[in-house]
Amino acid sequence: MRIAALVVAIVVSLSSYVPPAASQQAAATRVANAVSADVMRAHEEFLSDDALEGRAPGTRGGLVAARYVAAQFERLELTPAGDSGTYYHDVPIISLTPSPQASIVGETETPLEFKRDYVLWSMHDDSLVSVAGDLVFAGYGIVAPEYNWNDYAGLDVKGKVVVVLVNTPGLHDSTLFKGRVLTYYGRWTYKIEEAERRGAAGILMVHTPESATYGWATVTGSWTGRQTRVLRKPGPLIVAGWLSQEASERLLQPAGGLASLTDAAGHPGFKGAPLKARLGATVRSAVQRSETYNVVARLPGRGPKAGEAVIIGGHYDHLGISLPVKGDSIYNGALDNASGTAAMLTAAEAFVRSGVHPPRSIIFMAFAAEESGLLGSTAYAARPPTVPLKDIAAVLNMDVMNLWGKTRDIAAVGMEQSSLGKLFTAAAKQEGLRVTINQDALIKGAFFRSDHFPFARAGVPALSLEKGLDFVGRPAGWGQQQEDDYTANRYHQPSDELLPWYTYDGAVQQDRVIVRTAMAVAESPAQPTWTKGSEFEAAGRDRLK
Amino acid sequence: MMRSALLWLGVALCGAAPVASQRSEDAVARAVRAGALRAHVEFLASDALEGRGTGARGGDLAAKYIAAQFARLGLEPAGGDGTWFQRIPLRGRRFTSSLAAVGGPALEAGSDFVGYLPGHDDSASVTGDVVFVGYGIMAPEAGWDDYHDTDVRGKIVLALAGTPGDRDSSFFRRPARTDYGGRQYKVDEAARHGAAAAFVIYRPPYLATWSAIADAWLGEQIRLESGWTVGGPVQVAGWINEPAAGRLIRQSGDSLDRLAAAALRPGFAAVPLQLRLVASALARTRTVPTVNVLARLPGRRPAEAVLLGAHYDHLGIGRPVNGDSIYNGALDNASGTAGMLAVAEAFVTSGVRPRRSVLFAAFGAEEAGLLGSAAFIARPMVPLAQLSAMLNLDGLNLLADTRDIASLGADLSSLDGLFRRAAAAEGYAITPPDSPIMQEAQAQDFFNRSDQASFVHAGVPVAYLSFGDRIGAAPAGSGKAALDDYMAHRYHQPSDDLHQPLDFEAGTHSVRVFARMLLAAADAPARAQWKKDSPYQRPN
Repeated sequence: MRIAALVVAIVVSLSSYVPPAASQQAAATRVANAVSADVMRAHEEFLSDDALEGRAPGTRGGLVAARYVAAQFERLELTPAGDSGTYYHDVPIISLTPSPQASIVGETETPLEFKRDYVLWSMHDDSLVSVAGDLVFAGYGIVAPEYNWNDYAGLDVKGKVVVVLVNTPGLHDSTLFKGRVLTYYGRWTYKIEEAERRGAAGILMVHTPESATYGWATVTGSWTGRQTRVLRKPGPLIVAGWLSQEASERLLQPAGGLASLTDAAGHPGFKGAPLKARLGATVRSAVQRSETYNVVARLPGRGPKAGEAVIIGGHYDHLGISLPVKGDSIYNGALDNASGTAAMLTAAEAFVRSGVHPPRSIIFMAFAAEESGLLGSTAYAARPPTVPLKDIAAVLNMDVMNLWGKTRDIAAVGMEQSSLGKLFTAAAKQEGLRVTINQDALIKGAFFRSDHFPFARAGVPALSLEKGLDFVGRPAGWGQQQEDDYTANRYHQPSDELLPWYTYDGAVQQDRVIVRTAMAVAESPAQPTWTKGSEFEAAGRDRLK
Repeated sequence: MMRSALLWLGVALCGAAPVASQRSEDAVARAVRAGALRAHVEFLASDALEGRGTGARGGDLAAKYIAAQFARLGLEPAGGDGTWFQRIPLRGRRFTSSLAAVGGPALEAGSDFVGYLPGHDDSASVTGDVVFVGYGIMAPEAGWDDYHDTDVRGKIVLALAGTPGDRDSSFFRRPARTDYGGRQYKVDEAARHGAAAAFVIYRPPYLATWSAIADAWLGEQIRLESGWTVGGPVQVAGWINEPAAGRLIRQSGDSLDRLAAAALRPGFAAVPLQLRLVASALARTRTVPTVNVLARLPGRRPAEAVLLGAHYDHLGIGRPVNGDSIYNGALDNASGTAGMLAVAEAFVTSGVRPRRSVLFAAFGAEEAGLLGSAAFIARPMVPLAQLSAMLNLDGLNLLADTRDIASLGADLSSLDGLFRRAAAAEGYAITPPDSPIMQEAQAQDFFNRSDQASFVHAGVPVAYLSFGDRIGAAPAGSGKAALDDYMAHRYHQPSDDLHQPLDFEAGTHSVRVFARMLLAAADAPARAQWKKDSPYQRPN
């Protein structure tokens, strides 16, 4: 009886939105045609309003945003896909402010000065941890079978403290890895994960401005104050940190010096070695726990693959209320990322309005605490509440939409990583858009900097939408100029607000491509696969085991 | 021509409907979704909205949420200047007051009396002779005149709260105007007679307790800016508690009991007392920013309109009860706001294009005294003569599904037939007027306590959706029992929140009646008309 009423209502609601020829159109076209600029504008205006106070995790503005997203899911009668039958997936957060003490004991004991020589933080959620272990130099700290590279070969680092270089050997030899294009093996987060997989008790990363792509001031700025992360089970790794270039020189002098070790580590067949010194360190941390939520809903698929899903997501958090700039202290995050959240909700509404139920389910998700370090997506990938990772066919992430106007092109990061790239290109083509590659984004490591990434790391093919830059009715270079202006003057500033000239034409183009890509994945006989040689291929295999 | 006009009139009056309109009413009713109702209530009544206080952050969030929903539906902004928002020009004032008999001890503010300044002044003091004016009512239609020709110019009048009908049901039965019992009317009437000050004597039984009245007047009073001028010559006004009034009157050699008994008798005339009072008050004033949120679904003949309203404000953050200080107002009136939004969505998704435009209105500042609707009446988005009807949702029935349903006010106009037909289409019986719940609605004066009252006084026919009397197979009075339980334990308390059992299917069922009625009123050949014997009529 209730189902009958539901069907009637869907038919009724269809009649006003879809032209009579709808039944002959491909399902993906029907969904794309139901993407509404009115809907997107409504959500965008609400979420970026001053009343939302910048949507910071754990604040009332953040909570209002989460409640808003849940209300929209509920109104659309989507199935709750968070914890315990709700739309909310708990993201338990811990913040630690470290006060470390450390010294290196070789022939003599050399005390290290916090901030000048090193930074160090606890990898456990405890207020006091200590470690004493032999130091081992492990080159770039990379294990990459697809590049035939293993810095840990023949090294036993269990219970020891590894010293590693950041970036990859490709930095100095364009024939190795992807040259200067940053692969995940170059990221500091990877170095920590690999050290933990090898059973190390500690890791010190050698800082140079070139390899890190930022100076020592950025290191002390980022890792001496409050650090926020997802609550995690304690593993073997107890502490992690950075060593300044000068301190590294001193430490590595007896083993031949930083320059020669870097050179050696950049050659295939490099073997790491113990450093004949020990690290003794204690980290006291001021600990604060709090909670935020991913907001998650599912449009159930139809048929035997309904248990699998495609995720369309975007983070809803931003920086909240902070330092005033020109008298404005509300960091509205209109583009970053009220716009992606609005586009995600608009996609959800398009699916519901069109009445399309593809074979695989579609999961709509507003990610929490992205700005604090991809915490919501990390928590989801670590503990998916309803659909296990093996059944998540793909993640399509929207972070900063194009509110600047119609374009002739479109882009995404992660195109080359998996077969999703082809599906995205085909979807773009159906919308009359060509796909451009944004090389600059690849060098900056854009693929590692939004919420699709924790899924990729866990083996789920993923991509993140980017803007095209070839704007209709604008001179060549105008798009790049806007991009540069945004980055310089509004990105992560209170001035990331809705500007009077913003329009939804471009974002609707983007959202139509996203729903088409999602439909392509949802309707495809098999899940997308990682490109051969992608650094996520192994994780992809593990995921399906 | 004549015949067909008569035929249409007949159709409207007897409540039959052409097949096509029946079909679109069915479509609209079906498109009202319980999921939407639940979603909006859960958002608006969540603690994150902080009780939607007038002029507070939570109220602002609620208004913006409603605007986002209107925008999403592709409705037209109808708040003026192309926005969703109509500013409600509010002024909040806090008073410090004193009252004493000349040469006598000062009364205790709060326990004995509360005073205020009805005008714009920041301070005023009145010394004058006292006249007891009974209930302070002039009701020519009931043959009642408490003032007769007594000269109260420059004097201080004392009037009893309520009406003689509170104690003797042979007076002031409906359809007489029922606002005669309230403070505002009595002060206004005293002003029309030239009094310099007016105090209402609180004497139970009355709608509110003394402590509720005293608390309200010791706190901030929020009113329309224009609302602070209607006092006319009355410079100071207020309430006096019964024991204090008794003491004052005894000093004049008379007694309150004797005067009150006399005031019940037809032909009573005001009594000058051998008593002089000094009344004074000071005010601290601020402006309170808040809005109505208004949207329009354009009709085929957009000159005329019908309106579906619901107030979105509640009491905000207040005195904690059991550790909870957020007055969520889930029923009052997240529910009605959600119902209004769900109906707006149903009109859009079902694709109906009614004859008249439909205005969807979320009123602000209702709890402060129907101020959002009063501001709308002062600056209506359509001329009031062209506004065919106002339907109001305040306190949706989320308690339990009833077999019957009632609409206060519909029986006074041609909306009666539309309501009966809509109720029947949803399988409801009409609640009998003598049923316990209807008696309660009258005793509690629900009709004058929500935004429809603002429209009634401007001559616009109204209907207010009420609870029914029988829940499921339960006996008569079960609906009233559920309402009594709500009124006693949750009404205007922090416990009117999402933790109480809320039946969204029941709420959806009842809202569908108003969705049908709204469409019928929008499509009706003629504007809604008051019945001839109604005390309300459109202005000439």
